[in-house]
Amino acid sequence: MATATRALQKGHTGNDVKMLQELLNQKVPLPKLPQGQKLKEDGIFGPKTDAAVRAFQLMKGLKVDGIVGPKTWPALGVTYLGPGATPTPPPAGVPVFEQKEPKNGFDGTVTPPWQMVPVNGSKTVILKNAANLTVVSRNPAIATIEDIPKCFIHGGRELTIRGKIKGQTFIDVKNGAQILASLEVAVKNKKPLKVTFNFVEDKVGNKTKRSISDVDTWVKGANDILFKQANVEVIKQSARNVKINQDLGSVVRFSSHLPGVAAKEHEWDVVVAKRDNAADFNVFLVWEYEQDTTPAVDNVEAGTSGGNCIFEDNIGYLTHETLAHEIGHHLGVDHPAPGLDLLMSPSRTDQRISKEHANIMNP
Amino acid sequence: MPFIRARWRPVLLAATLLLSLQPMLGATMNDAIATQVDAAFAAARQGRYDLISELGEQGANAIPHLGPYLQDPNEMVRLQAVSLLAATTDDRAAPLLAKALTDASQDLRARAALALYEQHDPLRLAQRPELGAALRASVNQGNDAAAAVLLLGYFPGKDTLAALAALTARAADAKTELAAWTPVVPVSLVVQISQSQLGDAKARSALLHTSLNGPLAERRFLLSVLREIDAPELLHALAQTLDDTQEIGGGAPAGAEPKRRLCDLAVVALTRRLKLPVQFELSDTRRFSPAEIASVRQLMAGALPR
Repeated sequence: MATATRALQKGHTGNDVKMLQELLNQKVPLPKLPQGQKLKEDGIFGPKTDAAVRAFQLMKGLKVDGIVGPKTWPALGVTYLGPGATPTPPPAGVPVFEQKEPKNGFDGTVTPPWQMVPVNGSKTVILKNAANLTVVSRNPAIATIEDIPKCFIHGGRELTIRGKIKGQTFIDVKNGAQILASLEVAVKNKKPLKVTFNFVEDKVGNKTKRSISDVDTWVKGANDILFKQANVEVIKQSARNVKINQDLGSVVRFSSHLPGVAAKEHEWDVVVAKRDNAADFNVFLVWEYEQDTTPAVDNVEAGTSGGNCIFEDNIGYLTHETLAHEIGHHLGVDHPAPGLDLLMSPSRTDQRISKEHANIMNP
Repeated sequence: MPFIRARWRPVLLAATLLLSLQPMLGATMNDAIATQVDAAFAAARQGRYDLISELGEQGANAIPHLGPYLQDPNEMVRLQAVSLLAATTDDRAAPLLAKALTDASQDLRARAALALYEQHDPLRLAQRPELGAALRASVNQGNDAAAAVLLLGYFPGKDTLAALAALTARAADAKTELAAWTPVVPVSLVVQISQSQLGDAKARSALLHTSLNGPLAERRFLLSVLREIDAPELLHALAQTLDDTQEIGGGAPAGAEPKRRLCDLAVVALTRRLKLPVQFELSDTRRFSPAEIASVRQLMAGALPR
């Protein structure tokens, strides 16, 4: 059976999207596909694929949300592993921790695996191959552990970890005194981040096409990524129109780091001077933004520095995902090495936050 | 909820009108600000914070009216009050921020400490012994924010040394930060900076080692808190970062090329810290030429005893 390692929705691209399109073409009757035509199997999750997913979800009695995740993938005949999951089963008899659900603060790519748990909150993890073994917290003052007394379809145990105070500890799987496996647990305080959204218009009428009415949706989407994985809570401080008394031209630029570029080209400072000082992070929504030597080439979506972000209209990712990415920069995370597919990767298909990045965002 | 805004709009208009008549209306203006503050916090209690932002545009006028909101049972209300205090350099904010240092929320304790660190002259703060007591209480309460620990370095005495030692013992390998985007470093490193400032030779020796051989993030952090480093041998050791061309980002947005290097941060930090009379423009975003870096190295040699 085919497997999928992430949830898909509009804006995603990749081979898994191509697989999804193939399956939708097989499983959704032609009259129910957009315009009665088969989907183009191009690996791009656009409006037609979205409509086809919704048609399929309606057919199957699933929640119609356009997201191909833990319920829709199996309905398509695909085993959903989720990001960060270990696709190959562990050797028989070796206890192993796995995530209960994707994008919930579990990092299975590090040794030992790692789980973020909020202070006064809880997270659930799966433990396999440990039927009769003892599971203990090394420091119950930081985090406690309890079994959920049920049988699960995955055949393992489910453990609830409760965060008590900020700190780091381990959950050990023991056979007598011998530790067979461990899970590192980071209990984190909630880190609220007050964000003001500034919708920019310049003196000659250049202005963002975005709408203030969308802000609540962006905040919710960003929190689905940041709050669940790093205990960073985005709070809408304000959403307002700001007028810049200057012609900013067709592209708003950050250029003070570029030798030889005239000082007047650096428009960043005049825009961010309108920041809301009661907010921690100010997002300035503009029509077009660039920060390199080729401003006519649209290859940058947003830039973040010093508590401010300039964010253009035409981006290749979901708005809330790019917002979460830029907040990650604000919280001190740079782009990771090429080859990693994470929220903080400049080119990404995943919204996962690694242990390393979560510990920078919210130490 | 739009009705809140509509409900308070007449009050805000009246307040704005009164503010415009400031020279004629002393006490009345004060009442108008108090009314505006109350309106903004009434909305904040309902989860609307835009009036707080508008209040923030008035600068320090609101400070005398913020005290009660620091005691509010609603954490978001207290957060908004601390944010307004954090946005001003007015001296009247300092005692209120000192109260917030022992708030029940660690986020608020950290914010209060950062506001004191960034917005107020530490030498003036050091003349307030009650602030030292509040900082110690805050740290003993679990506040490991870098700003709180660094400010303790301005309050000598055995109680401060005991608070720092207890924090080191408690922190183990915990990490902390100054501002949101500054490097994340061990709490123990920040404690060493304060201990060194208070004359602890062992801490100074540990800092010397970090300055010369420490991880990039820790040397970057030391350059960002150079104000707190007074020992000439430490400043000379940190001057070696003028030779370090590792890219660190910062200054310009992530992804912008060319990236800033550790040596560029060192040029700015050392020049500002030692008030070096350099003949080029300092910038937090650009790379400096080898000649510019060499001139800083040369000026340092004359400005600082070995």
